[in-house]
Amino acid sequence: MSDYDVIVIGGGVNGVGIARDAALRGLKVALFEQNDLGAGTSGASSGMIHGGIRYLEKDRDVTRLSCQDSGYIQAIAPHLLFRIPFIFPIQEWTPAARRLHELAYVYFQAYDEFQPLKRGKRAAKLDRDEVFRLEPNVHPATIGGVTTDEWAINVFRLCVLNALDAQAHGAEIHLQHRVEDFVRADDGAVLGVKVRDLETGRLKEITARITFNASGPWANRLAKLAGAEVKMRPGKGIHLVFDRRIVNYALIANAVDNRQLFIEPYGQETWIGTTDDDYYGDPADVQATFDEVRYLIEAVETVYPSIRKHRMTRAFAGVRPTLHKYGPYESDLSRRHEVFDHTKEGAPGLMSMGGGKLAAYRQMAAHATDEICARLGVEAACTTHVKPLPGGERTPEVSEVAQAADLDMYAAARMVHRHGSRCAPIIERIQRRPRERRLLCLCEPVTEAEARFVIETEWVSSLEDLRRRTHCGGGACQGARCGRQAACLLAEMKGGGPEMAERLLADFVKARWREQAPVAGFGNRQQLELARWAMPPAPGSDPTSVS
Amino acid sequence: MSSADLTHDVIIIGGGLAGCLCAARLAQAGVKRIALISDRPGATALHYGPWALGQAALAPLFPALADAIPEAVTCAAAGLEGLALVESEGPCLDVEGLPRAGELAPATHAAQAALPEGSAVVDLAPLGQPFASLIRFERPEMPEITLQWPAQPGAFGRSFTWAAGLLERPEAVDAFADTLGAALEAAGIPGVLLPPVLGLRDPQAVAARIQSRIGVPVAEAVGGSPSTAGLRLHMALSRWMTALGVTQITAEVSAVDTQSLTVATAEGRHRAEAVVVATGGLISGGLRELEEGLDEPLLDVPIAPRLPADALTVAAPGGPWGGPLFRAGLPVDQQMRPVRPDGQPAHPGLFAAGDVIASGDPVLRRWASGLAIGSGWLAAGGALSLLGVTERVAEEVR
Repeated sequence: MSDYDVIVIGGGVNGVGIARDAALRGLKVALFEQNDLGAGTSGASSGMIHGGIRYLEKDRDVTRLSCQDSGYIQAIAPHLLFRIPFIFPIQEWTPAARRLHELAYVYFQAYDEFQPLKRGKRAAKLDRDEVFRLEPNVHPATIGGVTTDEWAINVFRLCVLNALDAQAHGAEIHLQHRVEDFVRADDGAVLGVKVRDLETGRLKEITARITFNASGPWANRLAKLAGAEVKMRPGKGIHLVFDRRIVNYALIANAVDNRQLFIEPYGQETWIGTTDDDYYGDPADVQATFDEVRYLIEAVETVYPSIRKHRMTRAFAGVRPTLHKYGPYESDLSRRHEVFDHTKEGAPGLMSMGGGKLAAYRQMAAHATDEICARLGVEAACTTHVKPLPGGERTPEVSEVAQAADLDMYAAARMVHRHGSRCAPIIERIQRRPRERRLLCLCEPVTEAEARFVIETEWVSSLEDLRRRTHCGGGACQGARCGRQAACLLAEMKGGGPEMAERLLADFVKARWREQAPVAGFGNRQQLELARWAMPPAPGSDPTSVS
Repeated sequence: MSSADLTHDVIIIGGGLAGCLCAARLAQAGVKRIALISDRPGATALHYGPWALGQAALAPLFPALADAIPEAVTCAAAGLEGLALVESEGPCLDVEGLPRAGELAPATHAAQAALPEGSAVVDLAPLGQPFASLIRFERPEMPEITLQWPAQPGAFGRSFTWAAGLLERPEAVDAFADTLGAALEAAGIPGVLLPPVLGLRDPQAVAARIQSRIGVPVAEAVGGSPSTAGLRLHMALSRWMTALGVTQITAEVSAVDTQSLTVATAEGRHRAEAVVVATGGLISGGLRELEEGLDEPLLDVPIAPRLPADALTVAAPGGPWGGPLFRAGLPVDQQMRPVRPDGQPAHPGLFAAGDVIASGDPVLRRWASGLAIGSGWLAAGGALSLLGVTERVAEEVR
């Protein structure tokens, strides 16, 4: 008799999506994640819930399904989404610029057919003056542009909410648990996993009728432990983050190798993305490089010349678990996904998923769960497109939240964005203990009450976990102002003392550093030095012996 | 052209700890024409209280510098009397409630230690920086009081330094004391720990005024960013320089000619027998960041270590405390003279002091204040022997 119906390996958006879907269909689920929810590929994505405009020519159905699913995600988590209108700027040096302007408009108009599915606005053709009115700092050679409308989502919150809802429907969520091997029957069948609790160091054997490998770029490494394969061509992608909003519209730019990339407003930051290069290293070690940063900056300079005057805070990197194909350039690889059953490879009971994209996570999870149910003989329909995620039931009015918690409108708006109707317990906290209203993180901002609520309810064990869930310490100061305070708060809630606070802080600074170092030479070093003075290493815990 | 140049005995560029200690030694030795050129408060103004001297850690790298620290400390303690620098036995609480150690620290430590049992920690609710809820570990037993002060419009979200500025006015101190006194009386509290808001000039005087008005001892914590302690230090240094008769010039220096020892500013050119570059590190602008490396913008002396372009953008495994990134600066000899790659001083009268010097990582090694005052002291010594001035007073003391 197995412990569970399904073990899901991986706490990215696919893993939690499957865990939620399976739990909603009544399956007994356990999820194991080696790090934190969304800490890998999901959290390194550009956050777009787009409608698949690039499939318009080849396969209109893909575009229709993408737009439909974007609409579903808006319906189940409306608070997490924010609109990102795009401008495709046309520049005078582009060959046949006037004709391209016309053609682009026609193309985007064709996409308008699907926009109502996701509450998108229609395309507009802009002349030169209109473009400059919307984005005064675009390149002077711009002769016009075309707009289209997309949505982005707070990916970390999306992962957490899926996990919370899975848990609410009986699933067990285990973070900081690394699957090290599979439990096998004599005939090779996969009966479960051998998983190490990274906090205690203990190795446990857990069994399930199906073990589902949703570990993204780690999928092939895991499958190999069972003698199976998830053939992938992993692609590294990086994003640059600026300390504030530089643009109101996302702008599309062409890189030196003619790849399309973008600069987009994201929350109160600006992101530039992305690169796409074959990557065969350990996904845990992925880090942006100087050359990649320069590649992106040079490309964006062609549409937004003053970009170098702005301060980058960090560059984050991730690895796409792209399905294998021999031949095409990285960017031309398909973003479709596939569910693998490893029975033929001698590992029945083990299934994997590869490929895919953030915008399709819910469909992918539904597909995977359909396959799981078919094998378990369970007949239950997917409901993840109609059942709201926690907090998505009703988005409270910002002004009401501001009034009830005595917060300023901006702080309230950001809290509503993150928590939707789950603001209620945070407001209650503030009403009970008014001093928890104060801002722990000024960049985002995040109140002490929200931090405490998140730490209590959302599996937080480090300041990085708190950053992913609230953006505390992830903004312009990268923790220089709030790091110590947040460390003290977390240590206190975990029952530790100053030593624990210092250790939590040192770990956080090290993790931030991985993302800060690649942009250190791009106007950020002064701030980095300032931050180091605010967050010096803990006494006796000097992380390096460098003199 | 050179007739228009302003001439001095010694020019010091940078008015932080390093530059001021250098000027102080020169002035006390009797040098008359000292020009201190600076254009803005540097990293000194971010200093949060305790001084990290790191004498033992500096000794293997710069033995003479390490030896100079005690003398420099004695001089600073006398010159910055308003800050009442005292040797500190134990650590003091910072605004996060963590104990911070320092070899030399403000009287803050003593005041904190003297608070009676049952003292409360006081939060100033409108300010943007949390306080009471952060004094968690060292004084978990301390009761908390929340004051609605400052009550004026626009106070919400402001910093401790801003509030400290309010308490520069005696009548504001009295009004604050009355608000505090009323809250304490109700609760029967015998003493209070405040955030760093006790004025920007003389925290002890402000504390004493409050105590005499409400009869309860008050102490403040250190730390916070921006830092009240740092602004106090910055202002005290400036007052000290005025008292010593040092000519303070507010100007941005555009270049230093290492052949003729000429210092160019927008307003004019300055010449001297000796020039001390005490312009600080990256924060203060003493080192400049270029896309592919670091640069010292005033001199034609290359910085060390020389780093490959991507050394600056690849994360060292130890985090921001590892790797060569934060060690780079002007290479100097044991007399604090910047040296060229061949090891020769760029000019016998050219010195460097403070964070612009290539040393070790000042955060990791905890020697920032020691490096500043020690190197400032040594640079002044070098300038004195160049000028042929002997330190009579200092000789007598020895």
